[in-house]
Amino acid sequence: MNRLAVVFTMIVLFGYQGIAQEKENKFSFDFNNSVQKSAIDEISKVTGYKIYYLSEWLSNDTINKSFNDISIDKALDFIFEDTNINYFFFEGDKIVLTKNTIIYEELPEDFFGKVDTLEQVETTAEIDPLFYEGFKTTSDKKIETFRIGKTNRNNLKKTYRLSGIVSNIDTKEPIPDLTIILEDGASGVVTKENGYFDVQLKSGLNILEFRALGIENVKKRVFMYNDGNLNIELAESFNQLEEVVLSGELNRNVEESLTGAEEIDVEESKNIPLVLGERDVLKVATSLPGISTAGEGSAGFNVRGGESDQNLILFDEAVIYNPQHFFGLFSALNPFAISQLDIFKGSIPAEYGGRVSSVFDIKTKNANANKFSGEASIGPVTSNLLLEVPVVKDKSSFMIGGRAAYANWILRSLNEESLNNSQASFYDVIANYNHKINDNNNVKVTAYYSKDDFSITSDSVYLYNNRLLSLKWDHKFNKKNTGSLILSNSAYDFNIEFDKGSEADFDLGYSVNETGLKLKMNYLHSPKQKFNYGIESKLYSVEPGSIDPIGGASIVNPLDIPTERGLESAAFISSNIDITDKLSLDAGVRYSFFAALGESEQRAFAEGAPRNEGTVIDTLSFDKNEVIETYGGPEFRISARYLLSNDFSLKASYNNTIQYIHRLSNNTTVSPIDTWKLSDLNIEPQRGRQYSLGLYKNFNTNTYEVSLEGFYKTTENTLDFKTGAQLLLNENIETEVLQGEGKSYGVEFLIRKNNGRLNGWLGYTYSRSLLSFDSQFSEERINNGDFFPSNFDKPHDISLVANYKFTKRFSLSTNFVYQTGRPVTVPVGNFNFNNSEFAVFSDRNSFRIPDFYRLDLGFNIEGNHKIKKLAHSFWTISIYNVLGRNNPFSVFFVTENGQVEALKASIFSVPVPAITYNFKF
Amino acid sequence: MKVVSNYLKKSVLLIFVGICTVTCTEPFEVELDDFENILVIEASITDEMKRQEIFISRTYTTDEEVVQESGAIVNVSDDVGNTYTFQENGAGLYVSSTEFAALSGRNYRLQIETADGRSYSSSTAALPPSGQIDEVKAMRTTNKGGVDGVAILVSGSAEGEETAFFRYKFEETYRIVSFYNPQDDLVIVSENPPELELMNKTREERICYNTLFSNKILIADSDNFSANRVVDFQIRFIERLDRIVVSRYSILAIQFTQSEEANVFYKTLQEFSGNTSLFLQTQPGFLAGNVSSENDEDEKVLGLFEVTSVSTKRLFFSFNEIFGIEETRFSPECSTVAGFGLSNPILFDRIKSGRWKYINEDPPNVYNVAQVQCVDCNVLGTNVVPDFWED
Repeated sequence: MNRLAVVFTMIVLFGYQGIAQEKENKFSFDFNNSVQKSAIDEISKVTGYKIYYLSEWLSNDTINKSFNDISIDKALDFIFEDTNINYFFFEGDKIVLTKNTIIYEELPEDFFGKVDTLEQVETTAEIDPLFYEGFKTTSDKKIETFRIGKTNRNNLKKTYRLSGIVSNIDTKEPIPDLTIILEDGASGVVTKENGYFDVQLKSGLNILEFRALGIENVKKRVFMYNDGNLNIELAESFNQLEEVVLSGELNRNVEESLTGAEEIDVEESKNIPLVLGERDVLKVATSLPGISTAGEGSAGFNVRGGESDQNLILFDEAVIYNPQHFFGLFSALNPFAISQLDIFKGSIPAEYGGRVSSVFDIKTKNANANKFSGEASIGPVTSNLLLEVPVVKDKSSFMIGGRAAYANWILRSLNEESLNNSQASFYDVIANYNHKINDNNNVKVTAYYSKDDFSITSDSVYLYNNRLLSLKWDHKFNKKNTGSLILSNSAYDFNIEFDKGSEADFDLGYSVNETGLKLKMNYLHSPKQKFNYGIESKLYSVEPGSIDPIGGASIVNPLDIPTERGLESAAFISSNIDITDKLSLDAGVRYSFFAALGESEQRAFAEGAPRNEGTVIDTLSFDKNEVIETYGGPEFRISARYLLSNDFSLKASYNNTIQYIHRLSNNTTVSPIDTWKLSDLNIEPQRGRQYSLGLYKNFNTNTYEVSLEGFYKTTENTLDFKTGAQLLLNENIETEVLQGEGKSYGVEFLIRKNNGRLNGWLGYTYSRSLLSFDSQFSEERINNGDFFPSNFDKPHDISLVANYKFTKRFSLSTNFVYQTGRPVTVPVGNFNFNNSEFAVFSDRNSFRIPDFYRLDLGFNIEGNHKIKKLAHSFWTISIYNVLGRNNPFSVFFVTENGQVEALKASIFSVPVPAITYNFKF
Repeated sequence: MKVVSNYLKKSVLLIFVGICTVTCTEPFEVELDDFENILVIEASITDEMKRQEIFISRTYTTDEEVVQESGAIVNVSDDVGNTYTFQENGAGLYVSSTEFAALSGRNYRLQIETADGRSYSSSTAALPPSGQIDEVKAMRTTNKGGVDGVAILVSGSAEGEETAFFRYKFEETYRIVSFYNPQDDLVIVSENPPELELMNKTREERICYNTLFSNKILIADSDNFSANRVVDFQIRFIERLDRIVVSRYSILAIQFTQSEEANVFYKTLQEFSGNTSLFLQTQPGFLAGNVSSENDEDEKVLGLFEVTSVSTKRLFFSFNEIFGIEETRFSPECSTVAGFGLSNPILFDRIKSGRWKYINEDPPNVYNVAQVQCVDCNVLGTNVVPDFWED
C-alpha cells in the first residue's frame, strides 16, 4: 500500500510538471457565435487535449471572440468566467471540467517545512447518472482529498503526525471542541480552545470526519506521506439536527438525545411488499418496534400500548384525522408525495402536543424547481400520478398528485348477484407550492383532500373525507435565529345517506374542524447549545352530529346536536445542550391550556352517584365564547444521551403529555364513523407519562445499528364506554363514557442493516398494554376495576423486513410478521331469552385469538439505467401472505336461528398476488 | 341511531364475503373454561288482562341444555300496595296467580327469592304510553342478497310526544297442502304374519297448519322521526321459494311499546349477537339489565323487568295475491314413488317404518307409496284449523 502510494505521488508530481510546461504553449482560437460546448470542442481540436465534462453543465450563451497566442488556461478562463465551472489538467493531455469546486494548485511552500500540502484533488461523489436529477443535492457532497508531506525514503513510518487548526470559514474564528473521528470510528481527537488539533494517523489513506454542533459535518480524505500540517475551514451548519435527519447520517441513532425516534426511508420503503401492491409508508411504520395496529387491515395505530386516538399525525404540519382509506386497508397518503416520515414514540419534542402517545410527522417533498418531472404507478387497486412543475427556475415549484381507486371492477367481476349494486371507491389529491423568496425566506403551501365512499345497496352511501391546508413561512433572521410561522386548517367529515324513497330517508353528518397557528423559533446559542421555542394555538369546532330528512316523503325529524368548540393553546421552549463531549441533554417544557367554549348546555351530576339520567342535578347554559371549563398543565419533555463510546450510547427520557380531544368508539377496532369529542365539563383530558431508557450501538462503520429500548407508560382518563353505549347522535355522551387508567410497558429490540446487498431490519418487541376502569359504582366498572389487556395488547411482536439486491436492477424483498393473538371478549356461557339462545359476556378480553403470522414476498425490477431514457420504470411483483395463513381478525358469537354460533373472520386468508408498475420521468 | 351503524356493519361484511377466496368467515371451536353461573330473568308485564308470565333460568355451558330456575318465590308489586304473586308452572315459567293488567301511572317492581335463599329485585318500571299497530302489510320485494320474496312491514304509533320504542314479535301460521291426496291408507293389520290392508282414512291428512314463533330481536324506535311512529318496519322476509308461502299464510304481529331502558337492553343484545362484520365489532361486555342482587352488589344478574303496552294485528295472504299465479313456487320433492305387490315384504317394512305412505293402486294390484310428508301433512303441522284462520 505504501509503495503504491509513493508511485502514485510521483506520477502526480511528474504529471504536474509536464502540464505546467505544456499549458504555457500558445494557441489561436476563433469563437464565432459558439456556445460553450462548441468552444470547448474547438479548443480540443486545436490543442489536441481531451476534455472531459458533462454537457448539462454547459450553457447555451454564445461567445464571439478571437484569440491569438493565448494559453489554454486563459482561453478556458474566458469561456467559464461568470460560471461555476472549473478545470483541471492531468496526464499531460487531458482536461477535466468540474462544477462548483475550486482547484488549488500550490507548490510546496517550504520543502523542509511543516506545510506540505501538495494539492487537493477534487473528487466528486459517485453519482448514479440516472438518478442525477432526482437526487440533485447529492451532487454537492464531496470528500475533499489532501495529501500531506512528501515521502522520505529514509524515514518510512507506520504513523505520521497531523496537526492544524480548524476554523470557521465565514468568521475565520477557530472552532473549539470539534471532534475529529478517525475512520475506525472508535478513536478521535477534539480541537482545543484555539481550534488546534494534533493527531497520529496511519501512513497512507485516512478518512477523517469533522463533527461539531452547529458545524457542517464533513469528511476529508487525507493521504499521509509524512508528518504535516493541515488547516481546515468549515462552514456552519444552519440546523445541525435537521440536516442530520435529512441525510440519514451515520451515527444519528446513537448521537441524538431523543429516545424512541424513528425515521422511515420513504424511497427504500417502496421495495417492501404490501397488500395488493400498494405502497404505504404507514404500514412500513408498523413493522418497527412499538408501532402496531389492532389487526390486519384495521385502521389506526397503537404506539407503545396507546390508544389509536393518541397519535398526532401531521401532514406538512396540519393534523390529519384519518390517514387511511377503506377501513385502514390502504394509506390515504400519496407515497410519491412524501419525502419524510419521522415518528416520535418515546420522547416527543416540546413543539408537539395535543396527543398522548406519539407524533407522526409526515412531510411532503418540494417539487423539482429545475425540470418538469413526474412519477406514476398502476396497480390492481389504484393508479397514481404525481407531477412536479418548476414555476420559477431554482426558486419555486408546484407539485400535484392524485390517486384513485377502482375497486368497483373487483366487486363487479365477482359475478356475485348480491354485489351488483355495490360500490367502493376512494381518491386523494395533494398539491403543494414551494417558493424560495430569497436565502432568508421560504414559503410553502400544502393542500390535501381525500375522500372515500362506498355503498352496498343502491339506497345507502357512506362518505368520509379529510381536508387540510397548511401554509408555512420559514424565515432566517440571522445566522443564529431562524423561525417558522405555520397556519393550518384540517377537517374530517363523514356522512351516511340513506335514500330508498321512503319515509325513513335521512342524511346523517359529522364533522370536526381545527384551525391552528404556530410560531416556532430556533436559536443557535453556541455550537453546544441551541434553543427551540414558540407558541401555538388551535381553535376546534366539532359538529357532533346532525340528521336531516331527504326527499319530500321523509318524515325524519331533523336533529342537530349543537356545535362544540374549544381553544387549545401552548407555549413551549426546549434546549439541546452538550454538557460534556459525552453527555447531551434535550430538555423542554410545554405549557398547554384548553378552554371548552360555549355556546353550550352542560349537565351537572350529583357527587357520589353514578353518572346517569337519574343523577342529573342541573343543566348549565353557556353563552357563545363563554368558557365552560379549562384544563391545562406543564408537559415536560426531557431526554439525555451519554456516549459510552463514539458509536455506543445510553439514553433516558421522561415525557408527560395532555390530550384534549378524544375519539369515541365502542367498537373493538377503529371505524371511519367514529366521532371525535372535545373535553368539556364532564370529560376530562387524557394525560400520559412515559419513561424510557435505551442503549444504541452501531457496528462496522454504521453498517449495523442495534438498539434496545425499554419504556413504561401510564395514562389517565383513557376513554371507554358502558356496555352497549350508543354514541352516534347522542346528546348526552357523558353518561356513557368511562374514564380510566392505562398502563403499558415493554422492551424493543431493533437491528438494522443500512447498506450492502442485503439490507433491512429485524425488530422484536415484548410489551403489554393494560387498562383499568374502576369506580365505586358497579355500572362504571369494567372487569371489576382490575387491569385487563387492551384490544391491541400483543406481547410478542417480531417483524423482519429484508431486501436483497441481486444486481442494480433486480431485488427480492420480504416482510415477515409474527404477533401474539390479540385479546378478545368471549362468552362465559349461554342463556335463553326472547325464545332464542344468546352468549353471555362477562370479563373483557379474557381470551386471545390464535397468533398472527404472515410472510410477504416482493420481486422488484428496476428499469435499465440508460441515461437518456425517457422514463425510469420500476416493476413490483408481490405476493402478500405467501403462506396462505388464515389469520383470524376477530371472533363473533352470533345467534343464528335461535342458536349461538362461534365464528372467526379473517381478511386475507390466501396468498394475494399483485403487480404494480411505476415509472418516473 | 344504532340502526345506522348496524347497517354499516352488514354492508362491510358483504363486500368481503364477496371476495371470499380472500376473506373468510368460518365456524370455530372455542374452549371456554371460565363458565359463570348467572341468574337470567325475562319478565315482561303487559297491559293485557291475563295471567302474566315470567321466565327465570340460569346461564349454561355451550354443550348443555338450558337450566331452568326452579323453586323461586316471585312477586310483582306496585306503588299503591298491590302485590301479585307468581307460581311456578313448568320449568322456569312463573305465572301470576290472578289475572291482572299493568296500569299506567303505577310503578311496578319485581322481587325474586331463589331456592338458595338469595334475593333479587328490579328497579321500578312503569307502563309506557300505549301504542297500536296501524298497519301490517305484505310487499313483494327483494332482500339484500337480491332474492325475490315478500316482506312483512309493520307501522306503529304511540300516544304522547316522547320518542316511542317498539319491540315486535310475530306468530306465523301457514297452510300446508299435501302433494298426494289419497282417500285410503295402507294399515298394518297384523305384524306376524305381516299383513296390510287398504282402509279409508280416518283423519284429515291433506290440509294442515303450522305455526312458528319469532326468535329474532325486532326493535325499532321513533327516534329521529317527526311523528311518534315507526313506518314500514320489516319484521319478516320470506323468500318466494320458501314452502311457508306456497299456499296461504297468516302472520300475527305483536307490538310491545317499551321503555327506553328495555329498548337499549334488546338493542345491545342484538348487537352482540347480530350480523358480523370484519372491520367493525361492537365491544361486547356484560349486559346488566335492571335486576340486581340484594345480597351482593357485585353479583352479576342478567335480567330485564319491563312493563309494556301490547297491540296485535293479523294479516293473511295467499301466494297468488303477492306473486301472481305464474311465478314458480316451492315444490316438494315428491317424485320418489315405489310400487309393490300387497304382500311384498319391502312394502310392509316401508309402511311399518312410518316414513312411507300409500298413494294409489296403479296399475291394479301395484300399491304405490311415497314419502310420508308428501301424503300426510300432519308430519309438518296439525290438521286442526286454527280458530283465527280465514280462507
